[in-house]
Amino acid sequence: MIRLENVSKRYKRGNETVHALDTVSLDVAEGRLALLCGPSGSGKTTLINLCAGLAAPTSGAVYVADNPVHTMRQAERAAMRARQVAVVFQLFHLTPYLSAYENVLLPMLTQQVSGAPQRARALMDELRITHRARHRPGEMSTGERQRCALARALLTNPAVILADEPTGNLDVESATVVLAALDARRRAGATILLVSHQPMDSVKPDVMFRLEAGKLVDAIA
Amino acid sequence: MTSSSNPLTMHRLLLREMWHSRWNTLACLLVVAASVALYVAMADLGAASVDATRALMKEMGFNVLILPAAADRARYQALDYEGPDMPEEYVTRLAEGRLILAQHFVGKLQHTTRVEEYTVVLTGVLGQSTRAGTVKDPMPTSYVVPRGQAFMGAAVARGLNKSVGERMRILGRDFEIARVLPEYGAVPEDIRVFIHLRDAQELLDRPGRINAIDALACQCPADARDIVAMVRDSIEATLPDVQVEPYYSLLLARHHQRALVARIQLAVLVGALVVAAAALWGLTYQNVSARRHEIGVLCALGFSDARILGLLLGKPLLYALVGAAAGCLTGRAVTTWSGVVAETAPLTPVTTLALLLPITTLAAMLFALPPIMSALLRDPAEVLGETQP
Repeated sequence: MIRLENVSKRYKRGNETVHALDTVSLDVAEGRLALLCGPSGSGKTTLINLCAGLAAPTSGAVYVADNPVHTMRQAERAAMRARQVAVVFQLFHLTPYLSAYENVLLPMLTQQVSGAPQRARALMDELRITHRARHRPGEMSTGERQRCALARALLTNPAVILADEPTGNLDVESATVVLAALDARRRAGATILLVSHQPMDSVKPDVMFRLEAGKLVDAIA
Repeated sequence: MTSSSNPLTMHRLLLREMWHSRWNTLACLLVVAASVALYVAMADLGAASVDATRALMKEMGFNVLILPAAADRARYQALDYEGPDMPEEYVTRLAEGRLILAQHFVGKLQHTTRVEEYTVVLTGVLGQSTRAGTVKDPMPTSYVVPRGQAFMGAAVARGLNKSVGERMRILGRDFEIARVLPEYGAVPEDIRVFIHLRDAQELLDRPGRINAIDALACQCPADARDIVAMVRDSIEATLPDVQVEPYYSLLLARHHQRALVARIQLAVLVGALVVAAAALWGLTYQNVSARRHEIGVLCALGFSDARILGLLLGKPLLYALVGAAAGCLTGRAVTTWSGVVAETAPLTPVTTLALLLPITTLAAMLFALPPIMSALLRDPAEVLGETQP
């Protein structure tokens, strides 16, 4: 469901060439949860961005949900994200002028979601933020904001979930709710690539990858 | 929790953002409204000014004289009109001419004669011919006189001690004095006796002939340099066998006033456009910079570039439409309620004001487009990696 073949990503920062990823190959089968670990600057977020089609690889091939992301045009990648792939960011990135409920509903503006309001309410119940439905992001705690961002990502019932350190800024209770929701999606058949600084106790990944300085140094099934 | 059947739409998203960044929205609205109001007020003032000048010029009379090619100007100035004449049909040809830079034409048959020992200029006229047909509101130096009647110049009335209703004998025929004209203050106007052209042609035995045409120019382009030559050429192109003698000061005053108004209007329009463009560019840049994470998220959620562009351009579309309408109303209110423009003065037509709406909208969207495109072209991965404000 997620496959990278010899993927490299280089970019310029001033006069310096940064090797964000260096010939990385990995494979996450459908319905599996993969944990991607590594220190800061090891290339985890770059890898997520490549899988989401938010950036293009310098070389190599990226396949996500049977889509050859590396060859797709921008509009095709946008359509893939709308229909099949959801991204959860460490920094939430909620729309500040919408309520929590409206933030969760945002994906329905680009993808027809049957029963979207009911589904949004169910997700907010599951993630325990129903009481914040009418609140703006600025009025919510960090944990609530992340749970709201996760609910938004899950609205379209995506086949692939790319979560970039979703628990990085959260307290234990919020982190537990978020990871439980992701685990439930795995059991429902979704493929999940979860990025974290370190291994987690509360979630049992099917496979674990470790990145260091842009290289894949470990893959444990 | 909101429970509407359609809880979130693109329109709602757009309006929510406009309310969220209301000071930015209000500033954009004010820039558009002020620019449009300025333009409308200037256009109204310009139209009123041109009309006021037109009325003044009308009082001052015609500004172009057309004589037969062989006419002697010196003899003409000495009130000797016994020289060559031309067909009356020339007036019709001028009125129907497509390239003539003048509008009003009066064919005259003039003859200096004596009435009861007083020298008068007998003037036969039909009334004015224009491109729109014969006018019913002749200028002071041109009159529609019924047959068998005469209009007397002020000096003639004084000299002959005649008044309205009395009769006077001209070249052996009696005419009823139907009107004594106001004093014009110039020869030959005050010593004219106007009669119907047909009566004059019969008295002088010159059927179908006239010996001068008065014309009112000019419809010259505002940027024209040698308007005298332009007017002369345009008339001579239709009637090659005439001589065209413009009254320079009248012609130039009229033209310069029109040109001045046109230049002021253009300067105001350009100034308003430049200021509005700079302000809208800056305000839009500020708005999309503050929304860079939102744009990145929309991209990450699968919104196409076209959809995001539509959302971002929706804002200038809305504030331009509302701002243009408000500007039109404000500009018109300024000119009509301030008393600067006379109540009877013509104002910019409503159809022109209506045109300002799409033009302003298009301009506002064009001004806002560069910062929007620059925000849209930013790498979403890079933007989303930035720390949120």
